[in-house]
Amino acid sequence: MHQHRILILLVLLCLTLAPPLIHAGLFTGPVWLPFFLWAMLIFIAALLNLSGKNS
Amino acid sequence: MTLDLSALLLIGIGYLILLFVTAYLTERGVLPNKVIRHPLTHVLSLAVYASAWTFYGAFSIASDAGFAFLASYLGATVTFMLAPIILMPLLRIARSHQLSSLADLFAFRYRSARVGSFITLLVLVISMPLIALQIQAFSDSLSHFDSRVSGQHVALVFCLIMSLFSMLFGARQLSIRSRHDGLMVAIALESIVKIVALLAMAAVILFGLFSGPVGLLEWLEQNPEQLQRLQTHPSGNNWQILLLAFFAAAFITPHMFHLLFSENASESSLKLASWFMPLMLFLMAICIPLLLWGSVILQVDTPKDFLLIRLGQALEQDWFVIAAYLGGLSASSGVIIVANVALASMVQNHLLLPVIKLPDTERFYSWLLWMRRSLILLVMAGSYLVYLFVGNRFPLAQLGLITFIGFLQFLPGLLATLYWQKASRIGFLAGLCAGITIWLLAIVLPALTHPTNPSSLNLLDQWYGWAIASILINSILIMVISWLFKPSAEEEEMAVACVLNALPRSQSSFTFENDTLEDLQLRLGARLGTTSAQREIERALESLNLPPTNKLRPLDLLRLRNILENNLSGILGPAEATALLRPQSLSGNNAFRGREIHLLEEQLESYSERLSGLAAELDKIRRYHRSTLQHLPIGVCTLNERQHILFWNQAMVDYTGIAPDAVLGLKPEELPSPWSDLLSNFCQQQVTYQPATMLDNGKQQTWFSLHKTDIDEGLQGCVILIEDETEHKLLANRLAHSERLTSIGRFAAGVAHEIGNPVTGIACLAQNLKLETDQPEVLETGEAIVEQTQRISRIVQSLIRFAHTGQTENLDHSKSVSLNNCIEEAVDLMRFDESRRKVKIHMDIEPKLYSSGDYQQLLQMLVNLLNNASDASPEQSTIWIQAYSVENWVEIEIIDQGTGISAEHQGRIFEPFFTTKEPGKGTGLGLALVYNIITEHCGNIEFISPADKKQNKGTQVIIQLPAWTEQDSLSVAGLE
Repeated sequence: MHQHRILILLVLLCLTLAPPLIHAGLFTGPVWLPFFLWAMLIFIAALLNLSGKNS
Repeated sequence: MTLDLSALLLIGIGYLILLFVTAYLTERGVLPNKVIRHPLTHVLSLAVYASAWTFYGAFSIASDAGFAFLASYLGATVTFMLAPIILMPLLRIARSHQLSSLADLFAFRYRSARVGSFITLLVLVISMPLIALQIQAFSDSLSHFDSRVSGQHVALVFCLIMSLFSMLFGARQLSIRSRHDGLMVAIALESIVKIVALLAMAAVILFGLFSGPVGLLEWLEQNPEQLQRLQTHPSGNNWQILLLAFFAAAFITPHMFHLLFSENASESSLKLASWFMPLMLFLMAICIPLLLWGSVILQVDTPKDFLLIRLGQALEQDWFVIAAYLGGLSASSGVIIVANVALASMVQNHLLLPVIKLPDTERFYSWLLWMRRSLILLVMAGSYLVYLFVGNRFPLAQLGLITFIGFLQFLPGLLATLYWQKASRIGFLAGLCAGITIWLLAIVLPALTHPTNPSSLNLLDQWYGWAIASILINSILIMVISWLFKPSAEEEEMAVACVLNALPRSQSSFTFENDTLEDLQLRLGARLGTTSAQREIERALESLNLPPTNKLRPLDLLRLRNILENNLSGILGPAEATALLRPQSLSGNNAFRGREIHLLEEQLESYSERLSGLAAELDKIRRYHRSTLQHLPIGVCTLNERQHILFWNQAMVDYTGIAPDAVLGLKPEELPSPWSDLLSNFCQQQVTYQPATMLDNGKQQTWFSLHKTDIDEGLQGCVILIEDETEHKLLANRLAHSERLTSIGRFAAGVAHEIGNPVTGIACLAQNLKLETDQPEVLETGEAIVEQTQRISRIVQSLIRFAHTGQTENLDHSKSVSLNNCIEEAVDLMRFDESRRKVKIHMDIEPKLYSSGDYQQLLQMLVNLLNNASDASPEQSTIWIQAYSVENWVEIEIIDQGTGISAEHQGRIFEPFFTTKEPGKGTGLGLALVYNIITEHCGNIEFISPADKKQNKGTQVIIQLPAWTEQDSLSVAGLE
């Protein structure tokens, strides 16, 4: 149950914080910044998944 | 540019034929299975998410609101990056409970077929504009290429072709959860075409118009307003509702749900999708600004939705137009095909099957399949009508916005399903209805009744508040109403099954006491028809390797019911399948029934790798205790409150020879004999202990003691412990026998000593008679007296010898005795008696057989045995003597062809004075002496009679003596 509460909080946190964070990244920084951050996230996700597969 | 409309149409038809051929070849198995089943194929098919709205509509949003166009790409990126906590749990639930749509999921979670029907209706209403949008995108793209094109006619033909494809490759298998490999490979191919087309077009603009990245950067430096346009700050944060809407659309829309959870069987696809899908969206997204800047240079200002076609025409490059056209066709057709298949299944399972009567025919299955194909056509027709009367009045982006905000209303209920066990059906429906009502009244109706053509972002300004309000009210109502109206026990059970790491439990908490195979057949037959019901039951019985009998164990009936439910879920949908097989309602609060435990344990075994945290620790403890019970050296058998066997450990298997699978769920009286009598009688008695009870299982006699104790906490029942006492019993018998012989021996010794003296006196007086008289009668009488006294003396000497053989401290085990010499001498001694020469002796003796002990005693033993064999054997018969070494023993066998020893006498042959010979012919001490000698020499003796079982005669004596080894001689040398 404790684990579920953490996950619920994580999801709600993501849904709440993501829009303003994305907004800030898109409209206040350099034009290339959102794409760069996006590519980094994809790269990290790929690394995590591939390392998980190989371990 | 030489491309004209007819060429474009032909290319389009050619592309669609390619899709058909690809799907057909996949279904025929021409493509390797490794490619079809590879996770990458499935992930590529997920790019169907990038529909016409993303392919065309993104340009108009990018033009009006800059980076706000990224909402559709970023929303889906968030969804897939959160795959482990949103998509994986949904996949597990869908896989475990055979769920293939959103309606199935909610119907399962909230235990109501009506919820499924309501959700189906809502999804159908919201999806039709989405499909209409795709139709509109395709037909309008052709219209923008050539204004002579009649969009409606093109749309009609397009819809027919899409319906045909969906029917051929999306409704091939009866089970909704069967994979449609052809469909998936075709959709994956479309995704590749889409992405490659966009990248190719962007490359042309980058390297053709801007002469590479350097040229692009120079142009941007000269035209900084283009970059500023991208970063045009949208008024307010209203585009964020778009982000949330696309986050939900990535897995709630029927085509995405179907591909993610129904066509997908493995979590590895989702793991790959968690980064590959965002990568595909990223590649598509970075093309948009490039193409937009290209349109600025080429001064293309038509409705931005179809900017790609116009760009191609402005560049006068045929292949550019073809790429744009095919990319758009791929984007539209993919969504239409998969959405049609998904919606048709939902409508069939939740709207039609619950209300219509199923035909009782052998062609039941093909009837269901054709129903689904007809529904595909109907859904397509409905979407075409929406396009005709509604869709073409709105720009693509606007239609898309309406649809995606509609799908957003399912998000609070879906999150409650995954994370909140207390959500009730009433709360969920209240929230959903409120959200949908606000969407309809505040967004859809005004758009339909007062159509305007503002920009997408202006629309968002108008709708943002209502969208937020609908979601908030939806969520609040779910919480408040669920708090006021608690979920039922059934809903709670399903809620537990849906939360993360939950063990999926079959609906086994109902009582099945009165359910038989016949009951199941009647219940299914009433709905499916007798023929189909019979076929389904036979299929389920075959998969469980059960006989088609009415005498199935309760556990087997439960398994059968679960298999039937799984199979029927694939055909009729889980809601219908559950309703068909729903037995009597729950009785009592205890959701567990005893026979569920092994079902639960079976499921725990299959899920043990996925358990984590506290659940994993508890499972480890469960396994440890179970292993302890399983490997106890005494039999453990547990019964539930209804006297059904729940547990049967390995020791019980060793005692009874019955495997656990054969007894679990049975009552003790249903076990094979003799265990049925033993256990059932003991269970019925009030006593908790039963001492060693003999059990004759046909092979040998065994003794078991039983202990019993009741379980009072939680799950009631009792535990029976069974201990094998056979060895103890045999040892006790042997000890008693040995004690008896010893006491007889002591008695005999005492008598012998007392008799010896007077007998000596009588002998002396008889001797003196010879000296005192010459009368022949007196002398004869004196001789007779002396003879009888000698006889008495011999008996007394035998008795004394018998008694003295009990004194083991006199035996010297340090000397080796040659058994070869002993046997030969015993045979010679036996032959001294002429009467014993009439039998033949056959010897087969290994050389160099040695034992330890007294040579004379061993000789005496062999002489006694050979004499007995000779006395029992008829004339001219043969006595076999065999001697050989076996490991650390020497075995001597003496086999005769005599009359044998009757069964009633065999237990007494070693008793002193026991003889079957006539009085005077034997003292009855011979075998008693043999027994004592062997015991003193630490050996064993065994009689087998009859030796020849066919002719029922003869006796075989087997003597075992410890062998004298080199180690014995060394140890003696060491001692000396």
